[in-house]
This record gives sequence, structure tokens and C-alpha cells, in this order.
Amino acid sequence: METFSDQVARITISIDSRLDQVFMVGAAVRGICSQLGLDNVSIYQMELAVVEAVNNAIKHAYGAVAGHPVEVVISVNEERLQFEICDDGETIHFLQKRTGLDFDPRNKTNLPEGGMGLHIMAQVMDDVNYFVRDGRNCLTLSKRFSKTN
Amino acid sequence: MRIEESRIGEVLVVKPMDRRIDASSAAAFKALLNDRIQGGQQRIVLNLSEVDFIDSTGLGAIVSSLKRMGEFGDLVISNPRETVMSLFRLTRMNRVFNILPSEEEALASLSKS
Repeated sequence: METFSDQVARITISIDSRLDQVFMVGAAVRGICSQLGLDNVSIYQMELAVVEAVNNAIKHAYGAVAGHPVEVVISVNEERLQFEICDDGETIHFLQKRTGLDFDPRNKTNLPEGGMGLHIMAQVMDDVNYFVRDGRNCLTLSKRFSKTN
Repeated sequence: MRIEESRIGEVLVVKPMDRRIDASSAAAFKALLNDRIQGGQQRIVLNLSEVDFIDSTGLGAIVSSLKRMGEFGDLVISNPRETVMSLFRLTRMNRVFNILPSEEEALASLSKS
């Protein structure tokens, strides 16, 4: 995992483990990425990846039960965005699962209806890491960018 | 979830009016589409012109509806924004759905099938 030095800005957001609160995290990601000058598709994809990570924490670590914290730390330096999504729920070693989406687009009956979140994160981000620290589960997503984006 | 619906011939046009189809709204959206399909609707245009964010749960609801329509039904996507289109590409669902830039083209494609 790369170190994240020369930080110039960091914000921490905490929401309750409710899917109807995830949009607030998305709005923060969108606003920050917009300020950094990313194009619209990149902004959407950053929001998408973070929302997928928060949804996973709520659904899997907390079993979709409200009343638990999900913390998102957004860090930005001159060349990199990093998102750290942490929860206190059940540890899910989901990075050990396959990230690819393997299906036949012509076979309608076997199309996946779920399990796409990790694939999206891996596609959109440069690095995806999962670790347990002091009993907390944390997923980090990082993306390099240039000011010319 | 706010939805506008219109019927043009045998085709039902469903137009979500909320900006997001995400994990908090996907179940209601899926239930609405399934209700129309169970009611016998075989051809649906899903107009996404007002939607600027879909996550994988929202996409899963759309995929579920397509599967529920079976062999003889069809669901065509119209008017996706470039951002939402990128989700279909990321998940390869652009190879599953017929996705057209306008509602008129989507209606025309269903009238041919």
C-alpha cells in the first residue's frame, strides 16, 4: 500500500448505517471532486465507488441494521485522492472474492443482479485495500489525478 | 420514488423523476417495474433522462426487471446521461441492454421487435 504523504486537506464524515443517508457521503465526494476539476464522468465514478463501499459496510458489516457508525475520511493532496471507509461491524474479507464480472450478456437468465460493487471499485480506483485496525474494518480507495483533468 | 408513466401503443414508457436510483430506492423501483411486468407489460422503455446517479443496487433492479420479462419481453433504455452510461460500460451491461439516445428511437426499436 502506498503511503499518503504531503496531505493538504482532509475531511471526516460520519453517517448512521442507513442506506437513505448514503447520498450525503456521495454529495461530499461529488463536491470535492468537482472542486479538483475532475470531469463529470470521473466525478460520477468517484462518487459511485465510495457509495458502493459505504453500501457494503451497511449491508454486510452491519447486516442493514441502523444505529451504527460508518465513517468516511476523504484526503486530498496534490496528486491523489484517498477515501477511507470504516465500520465497527463484522469483518468481511471480501477482497478475497473475485472482482471480475463474468457473465454471458446473451444469456438473460444468468445476468448478475448484485455483487457488482467490488468490481466497480476495482475498475474505477487505482488501489483498493482492506484492513482491520483496532477492531475497525477499513477499506481504502485511492485515485491519482492531475490538475489537467 | 417519483415516476412518470405513459403508454404508446403496446409500449409502456417509464420515466423516473428522481435524480437517484440507489440502494435506498432500488427496492421500490424494482417493485413498481415488477408490478407492471406481472400485469402483462411485455415492452418497456426506461427513460433515464432525469437520472444522474445509479449505483449497482439500482442497476440490479433494472437487470432484475429485464430478466423477469422473460424470453419474449424487452426493456430498452433511453436518454442515459454520459455519467450513467459509464456505469453500464463499467459493468458490461451496455452489452446486455439496447440503449438508445432518445425515447423516439427506443420506441421505434421496440416496434420492430
